[in-house]
Amino acid sequence: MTQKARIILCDDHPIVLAGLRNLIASETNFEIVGTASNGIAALKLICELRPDLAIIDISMPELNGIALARRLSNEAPSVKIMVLTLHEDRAFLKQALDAGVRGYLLKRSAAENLIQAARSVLTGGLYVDPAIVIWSL
Amino acid sequence: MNITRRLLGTGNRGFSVRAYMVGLAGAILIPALLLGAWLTLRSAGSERELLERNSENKAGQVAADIEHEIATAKATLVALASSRYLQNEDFRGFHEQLVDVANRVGAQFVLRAAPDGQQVINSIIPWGQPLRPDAPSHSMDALKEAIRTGTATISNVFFGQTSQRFVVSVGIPVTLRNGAAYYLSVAIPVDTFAASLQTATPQDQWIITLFDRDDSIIARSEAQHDLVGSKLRNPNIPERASQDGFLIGTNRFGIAYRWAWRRSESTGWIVTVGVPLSVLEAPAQRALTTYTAAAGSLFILAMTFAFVVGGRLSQSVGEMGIDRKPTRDEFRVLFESAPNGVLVVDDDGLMVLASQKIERQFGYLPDELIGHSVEMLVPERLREGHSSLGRVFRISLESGDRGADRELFGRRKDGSEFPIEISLNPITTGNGNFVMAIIIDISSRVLSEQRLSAALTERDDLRRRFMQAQEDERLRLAHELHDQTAQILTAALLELKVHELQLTDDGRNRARMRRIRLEQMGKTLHRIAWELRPASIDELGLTSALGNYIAEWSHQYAIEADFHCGYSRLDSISDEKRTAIYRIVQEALTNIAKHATGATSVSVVIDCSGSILRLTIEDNGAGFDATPATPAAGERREGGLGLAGMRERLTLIGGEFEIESSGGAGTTIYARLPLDSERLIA
Repeated sequence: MTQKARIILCDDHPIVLAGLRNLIASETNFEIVGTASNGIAALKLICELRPDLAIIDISMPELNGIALARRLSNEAPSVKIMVLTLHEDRAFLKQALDAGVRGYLLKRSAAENLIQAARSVLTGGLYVDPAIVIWSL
Repeated sequence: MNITRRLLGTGNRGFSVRAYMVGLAGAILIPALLLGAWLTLRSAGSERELLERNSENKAGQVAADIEHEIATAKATLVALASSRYLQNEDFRGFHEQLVDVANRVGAQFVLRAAPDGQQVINSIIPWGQPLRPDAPSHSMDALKEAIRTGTATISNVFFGQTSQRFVVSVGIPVTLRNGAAYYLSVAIPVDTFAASLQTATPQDQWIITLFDRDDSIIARSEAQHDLVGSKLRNPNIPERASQDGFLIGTNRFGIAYRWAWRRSESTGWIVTVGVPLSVLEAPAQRALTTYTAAAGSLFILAMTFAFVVGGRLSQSVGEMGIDRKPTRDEFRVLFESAPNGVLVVDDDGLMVLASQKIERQFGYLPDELIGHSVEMLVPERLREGHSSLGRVFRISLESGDRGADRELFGRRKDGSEFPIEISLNPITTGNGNFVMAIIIDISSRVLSEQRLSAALTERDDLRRRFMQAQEDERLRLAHELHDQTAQILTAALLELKVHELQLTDDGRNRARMRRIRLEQMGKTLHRIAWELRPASIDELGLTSALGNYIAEWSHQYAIEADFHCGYSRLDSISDEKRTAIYRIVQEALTNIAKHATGATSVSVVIDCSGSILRLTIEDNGAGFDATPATPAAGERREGGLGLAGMRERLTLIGGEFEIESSGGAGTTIYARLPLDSERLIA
């Protein structure tokens, strides 16, 4: 891989952002190009920077992650979107996938699976957290 | 004592009634009977007076007859005195004439010479036969008196020597033209008088007696021959004091008589008419006897009647007229002692009878209501229309409606109003149609009802607020766990991971183990938060949240579950209602998983009919007896809200809850919710 993957992080919790930043920074192939703490700011930033991957939370002020993903699939279809969330309800998963999200990762398994999930999505794959059984799809 | 009681009635009560009746009859009868007796005696007395007057009149009449007789005798003598035989002293011829007259009138004529009283002619001695030489002294006395006074003389009774019978003599002085003086007398036999007395006697028991001036009996209507000439006169008749009178004496047999007497003016004789007292008193006695018999019978009859009726009455006398017609006073006591106010209204709506309770309830004085329209007891605003009391009464009268309890308003005299309950009963009497009304002041009841209603409303409100508070708290806790704790945990996990990457293999493994524990904690935290309040309700809407929940449940319990929502605006209803729907579905599915043995299919349907949102949850499990009292229903409460909790939750937000189930036929839960704020159950 010659070029680092450009990533934008969106989460309204600074400590989560900090944790994510540290973890991603440990991966040489990834580069964090920006962070946002609400949906509107994220939309603006992503449209502006056009990263390879946007890792977004669902529960966010101004614009939630699902709505953001919908907007992005229209306004920045090249950006791959991965949801990092606490919600284990499959209702969220379904909505997220419908909105064009390529990865669905639970926050509690982020430490373990974030890098792998990001790689899967960046390489055009679909990642769903194994804690969520996909029988309902 | 017992015998007396039995005779007079039954016990004291009977005694009093019987004695009262007998006493009353006596009190009425005795004065009436006494008055009757007095009237009877008076009437009998007047009859006696009539008899007495009759006897007195008879005495006068007899006296007049006697005087007439004597006057006739005098007139005859005067006529004879002017005879030409006598005037010419032709004594032979005069004798013939006297005999002739004597034979015709039935008397004896005697002509005496004046100076010596020597008989010259005697009509019963034939001419030429020797006459009696002597002159009896009473004849001489009469002769001398006649000569002296020149008028007629009337003798007492005497026994005629020549005629040999009792006679009275009437004589007149005769002086001839030549101056010779004679005395012409006629001796009238007393039998003549006796015959006329007998004729005059109206009844056998009456006795009429004629006495001469010496009290010798001249004639008598009975026993003439035994008594003539004898002296029997009652010495109590005064000599000269009066012309008539009466006295009470006995006859010669000792029988009591009332003697009415009359003195004859011209003769000085006395006529007595005796009537036995027994005859006089007979009418009174007869009347009294008859009256006593009649009155006595009447008295006995009346007393017997009173006694019998009194006894009968005493057997049927009951207190307060309970087993007989009550008296006016008893009626009043009964009427007034009705536990509630009683009012009687006639068909014109006028009050005719009102108990004191009514008067007090409405603040009126005794009898102030009588005769007024019943409308005065009703507030003016209610006098027209359906609530009009008069109308209510009329309807009751016309329809014969006994009147279910009606709640109306009453108006006191001072204008204040109070709630009343009125029960009506139409009465038809001979005097017209009336309605009897029982009126109860229900102020305290209405107040209690209002208080209870307010308390219930407040209770429901509190429970709702309690549930809402509980739900709010759950939401707050869920958010807290999600937004704070879980995020911090996530950060910690990420930091641990970074730290882990910097460690050697051995340390990395140990760190990884701890991280995995923390991950499990994160999973638990999530579950707790989700159970408190699924974030999807707020983030994605109720439909999605329910769909997800049902799908998850279906997966977990391997029971096919179908969810259909026919109401697109489910998320526009209040949070309270959305929460309720979610919780009911949650509870129902939990119940099915726990109790609906053999269920293979569950259907959850939400749809809308008008302004009612309907939630139907159906399973094909074992079912149960839906009667709430059965243990099966009770068991379902375990570990959750249970049926009662579902019902209560719905009731508090104005909904309804129904459950249908039977053994082997599954269970269906129907929940209905109003979409607007109105309640289904008032």
